[in-house]
Amino acid sequence: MPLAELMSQIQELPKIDKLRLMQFLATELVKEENANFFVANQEYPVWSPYNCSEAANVLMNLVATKQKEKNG
Amino acid sequence: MVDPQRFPYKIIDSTLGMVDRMPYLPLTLSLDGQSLNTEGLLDTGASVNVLPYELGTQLGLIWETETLSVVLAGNLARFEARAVVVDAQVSSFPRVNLAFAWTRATDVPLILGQANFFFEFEVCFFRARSEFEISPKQGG
Repeated sequence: MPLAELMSQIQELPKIDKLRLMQFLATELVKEENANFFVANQEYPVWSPYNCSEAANVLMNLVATKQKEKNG
Repeated sequence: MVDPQRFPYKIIDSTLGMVDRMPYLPLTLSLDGQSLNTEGLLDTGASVNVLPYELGTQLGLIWETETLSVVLAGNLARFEARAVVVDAQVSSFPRVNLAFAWTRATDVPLILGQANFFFEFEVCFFRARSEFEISPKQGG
């Protein structure tokens, strides 16, 4: 069905159906986008140094020491 | 009270629609008179800030003289890292000291993680709008 014809039919819909249609279209658009989330065989590196509490402590102590030195 | 600054997500690959955008924050790093305009990936899952090797050398850091070792996890686990502190300026906010794990890895983004970037700045992500907002910590 051509879009112009479809749109004239949509204009005749009651308000509640127009709202349902909006919701439907929004869901369809999200589905299309989700299809792009991953590309087969592409590499997705994760560099995050996760759960490195010890390293985090070292850095926090170092920055505190430097600030103490700076403030005399 | 400093006004928060809003930044757009950076498009990494425009062929992938809305998906491949990342929150990269422009900032200036400086150390002993050397300055470097760069950008850091805001990574709330990272325990620490990470400075790629080449950015460290551009700031004048010398690997052999930085002796405080830190151990990293994930993809960075196989690379040595040293703890360093550099000055950082974000937008027109006051300068802060940022501590980094300076890694030997080169093919890695500058990562802004919990220690100590997220202790210094308040960040709010609006992913659906592809924007984030940042302001210095309160009372800082």
